[in-house]
Amino acid sequence: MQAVGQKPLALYPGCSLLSTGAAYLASVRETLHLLGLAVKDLTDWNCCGASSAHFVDPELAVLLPARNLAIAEAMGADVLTACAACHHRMVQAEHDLSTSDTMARAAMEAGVAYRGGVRVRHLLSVLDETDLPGRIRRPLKGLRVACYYGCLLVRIPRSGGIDDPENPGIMERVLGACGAEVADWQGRTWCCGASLAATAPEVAGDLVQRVLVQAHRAGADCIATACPLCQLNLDLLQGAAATRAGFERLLPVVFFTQLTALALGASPRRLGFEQHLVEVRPMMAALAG
Amino acid sequence: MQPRESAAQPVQRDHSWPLAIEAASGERVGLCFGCGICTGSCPLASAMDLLPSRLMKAVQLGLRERVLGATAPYLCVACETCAVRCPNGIDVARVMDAVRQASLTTGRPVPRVDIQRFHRWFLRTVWMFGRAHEGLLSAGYSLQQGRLLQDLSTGLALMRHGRLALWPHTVRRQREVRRLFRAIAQRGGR
Ligand code: SF4
Ligand code: SF4
Repeated sequence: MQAVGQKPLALYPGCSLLSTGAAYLASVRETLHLLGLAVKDLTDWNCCGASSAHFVDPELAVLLPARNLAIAEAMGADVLTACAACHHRMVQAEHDLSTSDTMARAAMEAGVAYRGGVRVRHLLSVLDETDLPGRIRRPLKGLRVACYYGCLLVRIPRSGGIDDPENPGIMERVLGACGAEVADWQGRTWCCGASLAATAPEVAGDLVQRVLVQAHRAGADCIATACPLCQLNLDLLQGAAATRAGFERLLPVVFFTQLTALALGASPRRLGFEQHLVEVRPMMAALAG
Repeated sequence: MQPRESAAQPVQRDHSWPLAIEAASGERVGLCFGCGICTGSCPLASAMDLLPSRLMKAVQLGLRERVLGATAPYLCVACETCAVRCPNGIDVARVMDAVRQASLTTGRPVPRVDIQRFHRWFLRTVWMFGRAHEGLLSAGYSLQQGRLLQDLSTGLALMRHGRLALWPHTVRRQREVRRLFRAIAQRGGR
């Protein structure tokens, strides 16, 4: 990884990865470990503000990530993200701090000493630059994966997301390098409903159903995500959506890192599969078969 | 957009308001030519009372009361589909942000108080611990909404699968995080 940039990377797990997205964190660590990438955690990091900070105040949405950026700067590191929402907020904040004097001043006045120059990189980009095929010990042969980007990874206005916003291919490249068969499907960058799952469940349920219809249509064995909230919504709201839509089977919704870790030789027991609400057993069967 | 006001009741327009929204959002609302691409792209359009392109037009026209009373900015999830597609490079999500923030600070009834509560609970846990606490957020929100019983099964399912951490993760230098919140409060934000 150090070969990728000049600076070492510090992992910013984010709050969800300590709770509902714990399987994501476990599999991120497993993936980094199996690739021999020694990445420290960002010291004493705080919440990025997610969608709630900008809901009430534009400055809060920048100040919360700014403290994390300042910590990275003090560590002499760039930030490594896994959560799509954290990535989005951190990239936006870095952009706002470096382009707006008002924001930079607000951060300074709130006690955040950030001078700039910290890069925020997503794990998918890092893996995309790693020689994966040479490291694969258990190719994901026979597994048909619907790569699901959702919104926040690819759509970061002005700064740019990790790939093309309309037609991304980075997750397909990474999982393809792991030996998976990647589906060509329509729902890849559609919205999962985000926090409306809590506040307007009918609306979010509808969005989840639209995505699932497309994944089924593409004959996927599973959906791979890079966002704890996308995973949660597609997992948690799937049962009801399947009943409404009359799906004959449920689709496991996994974190892309659970698949990379498996391919790199990790034991499935270390990857948090027991946390999934939709059983992953059919997916494991497809892999074994 | 709205049942047309009768001649006896002229539409209230505030021509300085678009400038305020431009300043708050950092977006050039005046550039919008109403093509409707944002609306056609918006995954929440069918749930909105004021479609994104209509909202943009209403801001341009200074229809302040109409826009501030809309629930659309509360349903916007900032998916940014509109923003990456707008031919004029307008980040409509930021305009939605600015409109919602304005509606939160004017003392009017909040158009979707349930959604506001959710985000406030989220931020409350960040204020308390420096990191969001999903368990407390869901419990607090459900309780305030009077739907603790309905939501209990979801919470229990997540807990059964080991997905709800009960013990909060706290930031050691929590005072630094609180200082960020205080800076906003002092400025008169929320
Ligand atoms: S896409 Fe842009 S120009 Fe077109 S209606 Fe929406 S905001 Fe206006
Ligand atoms: S950012 Fe908001 S307004 Fe724009 S497309 Fe998404 S939900 Fe609709």
